[in-house]
Amino acid sequence: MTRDRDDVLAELAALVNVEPRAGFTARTRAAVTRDREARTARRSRRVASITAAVAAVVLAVLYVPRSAPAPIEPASSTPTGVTSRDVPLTPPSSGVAQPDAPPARGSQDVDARRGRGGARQVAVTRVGPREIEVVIDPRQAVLLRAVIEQARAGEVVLPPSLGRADGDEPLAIRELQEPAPVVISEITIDPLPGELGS
Amino acid sequence: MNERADWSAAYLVSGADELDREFDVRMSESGTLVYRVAYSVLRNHSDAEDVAQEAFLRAHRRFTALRDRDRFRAWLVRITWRLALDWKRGRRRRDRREEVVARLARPVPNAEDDLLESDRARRLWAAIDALPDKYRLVIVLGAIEGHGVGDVAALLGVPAGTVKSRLFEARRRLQELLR
Repeated sequence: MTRDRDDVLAELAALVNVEPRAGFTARTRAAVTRDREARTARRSRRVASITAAVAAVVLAVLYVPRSAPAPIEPASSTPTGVTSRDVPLTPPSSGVAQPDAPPARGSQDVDARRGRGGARQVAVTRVGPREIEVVIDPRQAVLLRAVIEQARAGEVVLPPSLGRADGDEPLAIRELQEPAPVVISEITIDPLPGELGS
Repeated sequence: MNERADWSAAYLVSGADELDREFDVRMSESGTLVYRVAYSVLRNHSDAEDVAQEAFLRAHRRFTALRDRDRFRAWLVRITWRLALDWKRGRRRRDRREEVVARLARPVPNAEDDLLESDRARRLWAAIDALPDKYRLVIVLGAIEGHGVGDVAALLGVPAGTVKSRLFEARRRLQELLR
């Protein structure tokens, strides 16, 4: 019984213990080397593509919003009826409401244009999608600044142009007075010359 | 700064080279074992060589993940065994598809094929194929290179007593099948 079992194992060993063909180890080593190089190249390509994608995203985030074309503000959106063409770019010394505020982004090209040609008229006001450039009439700015300074000083004296039109009563009160009664003359219908005979 | 970067790169490259050298040594030591394990399943030299190469490729790709390098041979044997079984299943499907072509153009058998085709050998392989997987692997590994119980236990990562009992049962079943 034991001898039979050993014979089985011996038979199996004779069947299994085959030698690989000549050059098997060298071929396997070459295959491993090729696979290693291919994986290294694949990894390099993957890293390069990921780096390029990240760089593209970063560049897009940094530069696209600034270089996007801004819509041109329609003229009808100016609330005071004063179009941007009418507003002088360089107001009088006290004319700008916020002289210390940084210029709006949309007015950068305007500034550049001013620097080049010294033009005083704004040809087209370009503003960003969410940045509305507030255009104030210099005369209003002068008055507003004066009112603000007087309010700080504790005494507001309205200038004649706003306060009193004729020196008697304030302009606001005068505007509230009842209008003069409208007199409608009697309507008479004269007959046409051709109708007199008939 | 550049010196540090150069040093790091050199360290990484030297580490990779060291790993490759170690793998190369282990591949030289285990080549025949892997080939024989594959052959014991496939019984075809060309397929066995292909499977052995594929096993080495997979082992090389995952070599850095192998924590216990002393378990390399056992790890490699398991990879090869599974690959060979998968390959055999695929070959069966392929053979069924190409059965007609193979019948028309059957290759001229050589001496090894004669041995395989011998009645005794064919019966022995059939009996081994009929064994459950755990018995089959034990008896094949025991037959390869005269591995003892301790060697097979180390290759399979199981206790020696388990190998002994499996080997005993495998022999008993083989005897019954060959009777």
